[in-house]
Amino acid sequence: MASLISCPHCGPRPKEEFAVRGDATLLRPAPEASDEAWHAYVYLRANPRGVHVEHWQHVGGCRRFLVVERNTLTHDVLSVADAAEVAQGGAA
Amino acid sequence: MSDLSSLPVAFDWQHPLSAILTSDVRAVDHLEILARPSIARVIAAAGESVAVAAILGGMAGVRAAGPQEWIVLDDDPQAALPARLAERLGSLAFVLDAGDGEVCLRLSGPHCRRILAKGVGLDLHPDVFGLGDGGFVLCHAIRMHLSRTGDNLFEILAPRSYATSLLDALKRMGREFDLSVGLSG
Ligand SMILES: [Zn+2]
Repeated sequence: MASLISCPHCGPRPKEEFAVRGDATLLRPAPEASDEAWHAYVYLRANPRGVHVEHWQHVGGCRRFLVVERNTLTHDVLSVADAAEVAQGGAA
Repeated sequence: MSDLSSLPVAFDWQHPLSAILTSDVRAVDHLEILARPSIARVIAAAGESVAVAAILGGMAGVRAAGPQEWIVLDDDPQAALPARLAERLGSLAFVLDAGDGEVCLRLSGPHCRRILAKGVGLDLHPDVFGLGDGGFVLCHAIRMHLSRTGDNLFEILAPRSYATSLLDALKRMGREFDLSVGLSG
C-alpha cells in the first residue's frame, strides 16, 4: 500500500488515517437473483494483482467514504474520488 | 412520589485537564488550555452548503471542518454561540453545542510546526497550510481538529475524553523545545 492517499476533501494524508472497506466494483444483485449470484456478492472476492478499485473511509479526517483506484503490485494510487459523487455520477 | 423541583438545576462542571501540572515559566513555545470556550458544530442540510458558507463567511471564529461541515468557536463561555447560530441558520443547517464535549488548545511559538510534525502527518509549511486552513487529522491515533489561526499559532480541538491522552502526546512532542503548558484565565 502506498504511504499517502490524496483525499479529495483533505489533501494528501498518511494511509494510517484511512480504513479499507473492501472491493468497490461489486454490484448488488436484484432481490430475486439466484442464490449463486447472492453468494458471489456476499462471499466471493477476487485478489487482483495490479489495478484494483476499493472503498476506503477517511476515518481520521473528513470521515467520507472514498473510491480509491490503486495498483496492488506497484502500490501506486491512481485516482481517489468521493464515493457519494461516484454513486451519483453512475461511474464505477 | 419525590419532589422533582428539589433537583439541583446547576451541576458542577470540571475541565478535563484541571488536575494537570502546568509549567512554572512560560517558554517561547507554549500550549494554552482554554478554560471553557463556546463551541458549535455546524453541518449544512443537503444542498445548502453554499448558503451556509456564505452566512458563516461573515462571522468570526469559523473553522473549516470538512465538506459541508464547520466548527464555530468563541472564547467567551457566555457567548451562547450554538443558540445564536441555530437561530441564524434556521433550516439551512444542523447546529450542535459541543462546548462541553470538546477541549480547545492553542499551540504557539516559533517551533510549533516542528512540534506538530512529530504527531501529525500533514504538510504544515506556511505556503501549503495557510492562514485559516483547517481540518480533522490523526495525531498519535487521536482524531482532532487542527486549524491555523495565526502566523505561528495553531488551534486544536479534541473530544474531552481524549484530552489527557492528547495532552500527554503533545507534551512529549514538545519536549525537545521545552514546550510549556498553561491554563488560560
Ligand atoms: Zn478526507
